[in-house]
Amino acid sequence: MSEALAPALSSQEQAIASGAKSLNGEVTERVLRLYEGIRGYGPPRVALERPVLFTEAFKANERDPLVLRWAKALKAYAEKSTVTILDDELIVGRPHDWLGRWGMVYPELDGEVMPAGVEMFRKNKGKTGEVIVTDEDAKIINEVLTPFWKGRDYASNFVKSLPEETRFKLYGPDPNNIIMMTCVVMATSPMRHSQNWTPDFTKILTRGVRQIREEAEAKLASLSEPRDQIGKRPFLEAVILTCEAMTTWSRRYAAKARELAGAARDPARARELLDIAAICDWVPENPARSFHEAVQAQWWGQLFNRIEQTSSAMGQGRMDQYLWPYYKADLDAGRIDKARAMELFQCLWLNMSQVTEIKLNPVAAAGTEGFSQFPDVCVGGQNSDGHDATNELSYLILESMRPLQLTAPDTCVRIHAGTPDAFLHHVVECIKDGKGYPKLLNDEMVIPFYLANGATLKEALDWNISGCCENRLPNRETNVTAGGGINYGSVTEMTFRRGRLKVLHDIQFGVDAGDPRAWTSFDQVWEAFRGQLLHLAPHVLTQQHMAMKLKPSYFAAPATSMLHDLAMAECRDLHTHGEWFEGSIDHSTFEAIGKATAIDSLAAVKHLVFDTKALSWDELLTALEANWEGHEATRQMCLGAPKYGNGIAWVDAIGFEIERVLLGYLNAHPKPHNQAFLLRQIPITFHVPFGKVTWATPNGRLAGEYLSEGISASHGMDVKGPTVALASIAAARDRSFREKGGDLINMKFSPANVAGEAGTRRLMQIIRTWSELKHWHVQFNIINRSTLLAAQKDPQKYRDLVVRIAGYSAYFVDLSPMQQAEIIARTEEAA
Amino acid sequence: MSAEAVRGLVLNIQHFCTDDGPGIRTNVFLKFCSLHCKWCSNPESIGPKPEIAYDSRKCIGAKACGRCLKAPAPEGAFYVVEGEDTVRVNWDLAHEAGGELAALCPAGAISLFGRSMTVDEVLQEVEQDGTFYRESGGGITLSGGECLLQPDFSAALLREARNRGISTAIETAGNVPWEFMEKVLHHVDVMLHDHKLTDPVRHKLWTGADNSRILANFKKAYETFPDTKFIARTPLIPGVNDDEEHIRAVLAFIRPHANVVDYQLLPYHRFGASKYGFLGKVYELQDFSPPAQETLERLRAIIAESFGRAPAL
Ligand code: SF4
Repeated sequence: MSEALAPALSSQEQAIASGAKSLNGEVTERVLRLYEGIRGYGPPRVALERPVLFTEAFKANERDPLVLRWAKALKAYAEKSTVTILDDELIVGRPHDWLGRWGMVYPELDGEVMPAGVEMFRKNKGKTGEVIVTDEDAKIINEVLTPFWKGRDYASNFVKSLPEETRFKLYGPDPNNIIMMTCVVMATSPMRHSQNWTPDFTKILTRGVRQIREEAEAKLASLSEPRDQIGKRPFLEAVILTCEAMTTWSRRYAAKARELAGAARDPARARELLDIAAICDWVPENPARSFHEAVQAQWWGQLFNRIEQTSSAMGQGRMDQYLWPYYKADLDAGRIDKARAMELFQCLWLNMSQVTEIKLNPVAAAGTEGFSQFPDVCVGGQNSDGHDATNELSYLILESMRPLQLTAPDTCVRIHAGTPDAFLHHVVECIKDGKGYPKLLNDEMVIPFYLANGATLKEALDWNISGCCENRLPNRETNVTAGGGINYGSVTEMTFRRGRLKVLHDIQFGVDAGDPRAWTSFDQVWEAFRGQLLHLAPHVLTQQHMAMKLKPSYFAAPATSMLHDLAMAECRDLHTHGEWFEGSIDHSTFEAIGKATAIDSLAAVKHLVFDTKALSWDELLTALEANWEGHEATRQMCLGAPKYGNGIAWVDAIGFEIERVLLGYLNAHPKPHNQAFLLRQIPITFHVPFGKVTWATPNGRLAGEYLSEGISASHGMDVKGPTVALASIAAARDRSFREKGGDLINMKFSPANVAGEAGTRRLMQIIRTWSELKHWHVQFNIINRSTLLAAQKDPQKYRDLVVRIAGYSAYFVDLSPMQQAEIIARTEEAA
Repeated sequence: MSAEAVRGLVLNIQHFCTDDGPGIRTNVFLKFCSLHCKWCSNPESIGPKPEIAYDSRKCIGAKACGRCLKAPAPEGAFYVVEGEDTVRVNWDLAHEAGGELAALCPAGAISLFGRSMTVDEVLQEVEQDGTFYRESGGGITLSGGECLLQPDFSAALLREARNRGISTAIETAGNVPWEFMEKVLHHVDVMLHDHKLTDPVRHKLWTGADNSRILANFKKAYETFPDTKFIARTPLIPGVNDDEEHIRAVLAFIRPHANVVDYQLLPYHRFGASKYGFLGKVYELQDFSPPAQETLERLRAIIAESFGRAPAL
């Protein structure tokens, strides 16, 4: 056995240790100044202009159909909002006037709970996870926004509309509680307008909003049926207004740029500003003519979508594919070089890095720590002819992200059997920087998934990332209703505590299957677990159907809908997808969190109570009830029992069976038009709040401790290394259902494990094998444990330390102490 | 008895090994060794029988547990002293105990090194890495201890591994009868082998045996198995063998043989030192530290030059 010599550092660690300004690669002074400005600003601040202008517009247009109200609010925003262009900016547009992170709040979504959120953030002052809410901001929220939206917002009405039993499962015994979820069953629709979404930005680039407007005008002129006056007319009018709004907004920036150019002392900056003015006069109204225009148009697209609504996760689509023609044409004409393209990309990334997702709902905030907003850029993969799609921009996009310690945008590389070694090598070098991205998604899994759900092969080949492990076909999928979920930890607790939950004061919550002491075989344990799982699962579906039914009365999204083929064909807002768009794929998601916690708990019981008889039921149940206090020997036995992730066939098989129960259930209860409910096992950071409400579990876990994340093994329990872990995880997945949606794997390596060229090759081999094993997703944390411990002690020095959470990266210092501990627990010791 | 049912005494199966042969490999460590190198980082591998180890840091204490203090644990093997909770071990008694003792401990503080496994059992665990071998060109590496001291098991294991499409490697110090080595080498793609010291007297001093039989075996192996690849290695111990003279002597020995494809230096480390305590053994090299980076680079340059390639980093 030989081990590496000196402790190696990732590029990120090196940069922090040496105080270097950037990691790998050159950056311009401009980019560095912007970066420093943003990082120096501190915590994100709420940006309130949008909600205030929206609220005004909503008051003023109370009688209009919802979609038109939304469009008028967008128009009002475009006309009245502050226009700010900051020094050094090349890609312009921001919904506030500071250089630094910002997050929007959306009172129509959860206006009634906003004061509670403000309280929470104000209490958090100076602590991790801080958000800046000034006195003035708090006043606006509490005195302007909430009074109007109280009782009118979606979230509170969602809770009130739920059937009582489902409401109880989601919000517990208190019928007046509209904020704190039980975290046993969860809904995410009260936290965002939309499920993860990727708008089809190519339409803005290739057609410009003028052509979209003209299309809407033509359709409007040809409406002949009387009923169309009710449904299609307002939608088309809303599209026209939205297109006008986008044009108005960009023109105001053009005017601002010209004004600033006139006043600029530096002639070079003056020229830049005049260029910016010309670009903003042209896009997004017209098709982009250059790479710079295309990038600016893309930013208009994403920003306007974000002003319209939040999906908490806006995919950016396959940027290497749709930006390539512009870059190539500019290169050929000598209008651009690689360095300039890098700088433009970096300006875009810096803009995106300032966007945060501020959740005013405490459960949502705990479940999405680090302000994740998943602005995912997708590169690589195959084109719709089935050939490898890698091009120069695939490399350039990854390269442009390397010098900066940003958490956003996140990048996703699509891996397939034909991914060139040269590109994979480049990808691995970027992963080795240690910031957790790019993450990898597997064509070999996702394409069959889409085929099973009704896409054509050509369509399936063109999928893109949207959210942490989710994917989208932007013109076929219509499901914009955010999904629900279930806590495997609670299911486990209820199995051994007769359907009761400690955190809910032992009221009867699940099924009472009797005292486990009477169970004489593991089959009875399994049946009890299955029973609790199937007892909760229907409520996830019920709340989902309710969300889909309610949403059209609360949300509209003309800017998103006008970029969708099916919405434009039927002249109907995407939020009405519950009524079915002909030809759509309209699945919903069913999240399940804490898989390994459940597997390991069941395995410990099987091993200790039945197979080896090392523990009696009484010993185990007494120890659990006492949260192991005074029962350390019992706990050690449970910790030492066989664990998932170590290639033990019978243990992994429990995981497979658990998936099969849920997949079978979902398969038997499809949505209308035979659309699928998808099982997803992606934690974001929900495994932390879900763990908080879960009592001690037979895997040796303490009450309140985080659950396992994604479909990874429990923290530190996969002791046989990454190869066995990957094979084990594969064995515990059931890929045979169309309902099998995304799942997440975290892998950890110390930098020494992957040092040098040999280390790069090793990681490439692991990735190839991961793809062959038909996994869905994988991401890597490559960092020394000692670095994280040091960062806990000295947050100032480690201000910019980026770590991987779940399908996204975050600044370590933005995380709660519990989440920090969780990251440390999942991090490898150096060899 | 079918070949797959042959049993061997296995110390450990370690996955995702990358330093002992090409690609991503699975190392199977067998127990029992015929040398006693003072720098050995796997002291648990030396004895011929399963061995009890005790790691007091993992003991949860006599109050919370105390299982090793009473029957069926051998009386006196573990005990507590006044004012302490963590148990102490009496090695003379504990060494005599078997695997049941380890099974008693809930916390894994007491463990057993070495378990009897069949070829099939070993390969079932090894094959979990099968997909990784395909991509990386890896396979199984038999190591130790001295894997050639269980020649029937090693031969059966490697033959069956090849039958299952797994490429094979062994790591040996070579201090065994030639027949043992020959028997196993029929089934080996790559043999990693140690040239620890040149001088026979010093070899004996540091490892417990001189190197005449070892060198004779190696030479015979190079000649008898022309299609096998050989990789020579030296664990580089400062002040013992980190001198140019030794390196050049090894090169002189191996370079005439075209099937010796590489010569690697493994810098001394102390990662195994704590294990001596867990086993009731004494680590003699307390004051040794890893070789200087410059020494390593200088010696590696000599090797690179001899092989006519750029120095490895
Ligand atoms: S059995 Fe193990 S944990 Fe219990 S007292 Fe003995 S050594 Fe400690």
